[in-house]
Amino acid sequence: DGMTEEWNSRQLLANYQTKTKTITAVTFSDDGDLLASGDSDGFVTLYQASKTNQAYEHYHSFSSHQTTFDYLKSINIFSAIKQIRFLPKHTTSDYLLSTNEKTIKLWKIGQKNIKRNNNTEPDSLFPKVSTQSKEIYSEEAKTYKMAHEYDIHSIDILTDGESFLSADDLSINLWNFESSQAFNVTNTIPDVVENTQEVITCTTTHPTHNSLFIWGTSTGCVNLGDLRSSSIVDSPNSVYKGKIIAQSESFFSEILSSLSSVAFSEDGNTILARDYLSLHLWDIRKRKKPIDSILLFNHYRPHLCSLYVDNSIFDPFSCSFGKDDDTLITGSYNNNLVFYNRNTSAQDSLYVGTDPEGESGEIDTENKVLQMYLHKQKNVLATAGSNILSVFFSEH
Amino acid sequence: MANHESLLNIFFEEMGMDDSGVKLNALRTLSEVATSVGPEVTASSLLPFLQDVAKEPEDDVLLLLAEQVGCLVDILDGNTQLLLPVLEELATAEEPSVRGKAVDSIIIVLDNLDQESIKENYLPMLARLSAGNWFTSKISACSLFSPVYPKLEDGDKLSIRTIFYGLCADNLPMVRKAAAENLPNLVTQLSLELTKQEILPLFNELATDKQDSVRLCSVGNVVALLNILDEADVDQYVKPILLDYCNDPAWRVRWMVADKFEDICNARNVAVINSIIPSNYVNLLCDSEAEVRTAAASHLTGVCSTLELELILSSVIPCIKRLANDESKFVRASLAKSITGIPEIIGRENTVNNLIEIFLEMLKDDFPDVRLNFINDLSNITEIIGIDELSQHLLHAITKLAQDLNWRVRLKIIESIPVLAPLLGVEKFNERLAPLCLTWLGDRVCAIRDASTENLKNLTALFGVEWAKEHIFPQINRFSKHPNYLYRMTTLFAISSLSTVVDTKTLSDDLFPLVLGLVNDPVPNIRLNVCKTMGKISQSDINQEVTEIIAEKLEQLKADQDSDVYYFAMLAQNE
Repeated sequence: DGMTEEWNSRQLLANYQTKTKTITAVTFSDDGDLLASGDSDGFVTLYQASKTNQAYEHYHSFSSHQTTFDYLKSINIFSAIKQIRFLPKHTTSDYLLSTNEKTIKLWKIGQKNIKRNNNTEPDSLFPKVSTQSKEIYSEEAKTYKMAHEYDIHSIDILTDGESFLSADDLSINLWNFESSQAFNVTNTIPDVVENTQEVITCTTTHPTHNSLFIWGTSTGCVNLGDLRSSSIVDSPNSVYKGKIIAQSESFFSEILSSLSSVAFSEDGNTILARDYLSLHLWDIRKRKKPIDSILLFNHYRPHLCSLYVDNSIFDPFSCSFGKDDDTLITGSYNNNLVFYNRNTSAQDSLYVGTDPEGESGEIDTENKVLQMYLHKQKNVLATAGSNILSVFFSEH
Repeated sequence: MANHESLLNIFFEEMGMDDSGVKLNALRTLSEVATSVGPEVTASSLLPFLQDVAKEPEDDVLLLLAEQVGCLVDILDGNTQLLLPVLEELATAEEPSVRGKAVDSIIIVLDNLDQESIKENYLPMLARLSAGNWFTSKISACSLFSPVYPKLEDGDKLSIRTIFYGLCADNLPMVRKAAAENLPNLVTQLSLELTKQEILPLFNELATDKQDSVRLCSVGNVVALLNILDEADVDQYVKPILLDYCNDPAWRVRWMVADKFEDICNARNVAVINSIIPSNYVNLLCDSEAEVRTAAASHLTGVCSTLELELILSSVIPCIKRLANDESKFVRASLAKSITGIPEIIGRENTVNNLIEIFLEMLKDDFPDVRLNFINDLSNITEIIGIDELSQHLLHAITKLAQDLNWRVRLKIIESIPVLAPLLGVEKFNERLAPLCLTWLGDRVCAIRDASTENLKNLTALFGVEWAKEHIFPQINRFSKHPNYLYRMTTLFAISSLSTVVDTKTLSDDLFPLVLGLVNDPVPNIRLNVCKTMGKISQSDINQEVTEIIAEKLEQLKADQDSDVYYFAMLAQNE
């Protein structure tokens, strides 16, 4: 233990009292100065790091997406924010991408000077303008739409700073920020759509290499694609597929192997993948078998039936590397964030909820930590537990 | 004075409003305002105000401002350096189109600056932009080095070169990319010594940059260096880099090389790299990525015109054969466009032996663009080999395209008819294509009907009025009595366009009576087109009798119930 002790300073940023409004996306900007959270109502809220003390202050919030109705298919397109990504900061304004299930938007958040005419001379022809105060505004700089037939679940920005990827269940598209047209990069739609065996569940780009990206699928595969090899990455350049850790093949085996998130280590040489019960680590150069498969949540097994019935078995938990590559962090139920140390095989939990007594033996699926983001340089960990958003500061 | 004041007041009031539409309108009057207040007041007060405007967030306003400031150059003649601060502010804008316009305006101002102003205003501005906090100013700076370079003294030349090299090695790939794009412009102005000393190491760095986007933009440097360096240096420094480029793992870089291949082949020192050109070009033609093959194929004629015949026959022709059956339709379409220049290069016999089959395949291709691209440039081929070999298949292809379900395809083939008709000759044309031209007159799509009337005019000019009388007029006659009004309209349009190419007698005896017959047509649309047609006819050579009849009928139509008919009758009378 002791892995979670350092995260002792906590700031509660948001606590939505209604059960219907949940926090669905959390991310830091590159320098950690801004924290963005997206919720199920389509709002994006920004918090800025305070210069004087160890805290984040509310900076700005705006409505990024609204629920709309698709007339062709007669279904609702929900406003819930699926993912937010900050662009590297290159001007005085901040830019971020936020997406719901169908449309990606580029938002510019800037500061406007409120000017006033201070002209006291009655004869002069020209106004003397002075700046009264600054007002923070958000402006929709670009919209990227109509490129995905299925629901978008992830977006990520490439390291050249000029393009980004967006992924839905069966395809991944490459966009350039300047244009409104997407190029299809990966397309796993079979000839007859009904015969789909495998869907894409999550995507992320390599931290340093401009052309590499990985996507996880519902059959437990991690696929690595290289944008340089061809204009359409029809088949992945590398496939990482392991055997399912199944004590017995059961009805749930297939569902349990579906990956909910994938992440790269800081140097890009290791891939972390989370399926429902375990974490898997792959060396990018060894495809035959993973470095490790860690069964963290075996205690869910007895409850799989009820978890299936209330759809919790499909919860998309995120995962990431800790401050060094030996620590792995992932979310779970009961508002717990689980830490795992690869060297010592030790496991620890950090409680991110607000009710200190909520530690019963039962699995509380209402309170779960789906989103989290660790900013290494600034030593801050942001967690979103359904309707609670907190940041944890480390004393180191 | 009062006039100036009121102009100014309105300007400032509008610029202070929140509505960007109002601001844009005000900005459009900027030149007028500046002219009326005169250069002194403009310099002392208007420009600082504009500098504030340049800090506003609305991109439309900034774009227009960048453009309008460039227009102020005439007004401030002699003092144009005062415009630079506003433009400097705009050159750091976030929106790339604003930056682009600002850079353009700065270059306009530069033309107007004298030596002293350049040293005191332009150069410091350039230094500030290059050292800016944000990458946007650096990117703008990259385009501003080569325009000013020839005007500088040696000391200054050295210092701005140093700044530029700094940008080429900047941390951000976007800045390096912009610098790489602008390097060729600078290189062409440097001496050979300097190029060898300073540019070559830089060129190496950029060509091996980790980011694909930077390597992409450096391909242009290869061409520039080929034109400048001497043979030994090309062999030692440029050749290996070019080889690396052709085999780059990123397909986008290979695409860029393919795109620039023609320029490479036409460079001054190409003899040195002659050994590697054919094999690498063939590699690009057979690249694994379809986009690269398409780019390489589009430059086929340009590249082959620099190669020896033997080489073409032995290496390139087999490649062409493979490409003609390529699985990607875009590759085939690109090939179809560029292959028409090849017969001229390799001569009749070689064409007949090697390429005829490919031509025939192209005429039968599934993808309409392949057929269309090929047919469009057919005259180049037929000049060399004559039409007989192809005519059978050609006619078949044309007939099929003419009936294609997609109207845009039909439109393109109609546009090619005037080119094809003289190649085929009157006989063959009458046999196979004349009936087609007439069915197009009655096509369901209006654009096709319009294009076909134009077509008929061209054919008449080509084959003569007698031919037109025999083949076209009967159909026009039939149409003029058609129950559907759209066909009657087509008659009028056809007569309008034919009136310019037929002689007076034909016009009055054969065509004019048809127009007359429609004067009392029940549909107002027809009647107003009659007015238009009559107006058009009266512009050609016609005899007195016809003129009188036209005048009489136009009077009659002026009294028409429908107001549109009245309007067009009035218009026609004025002509």
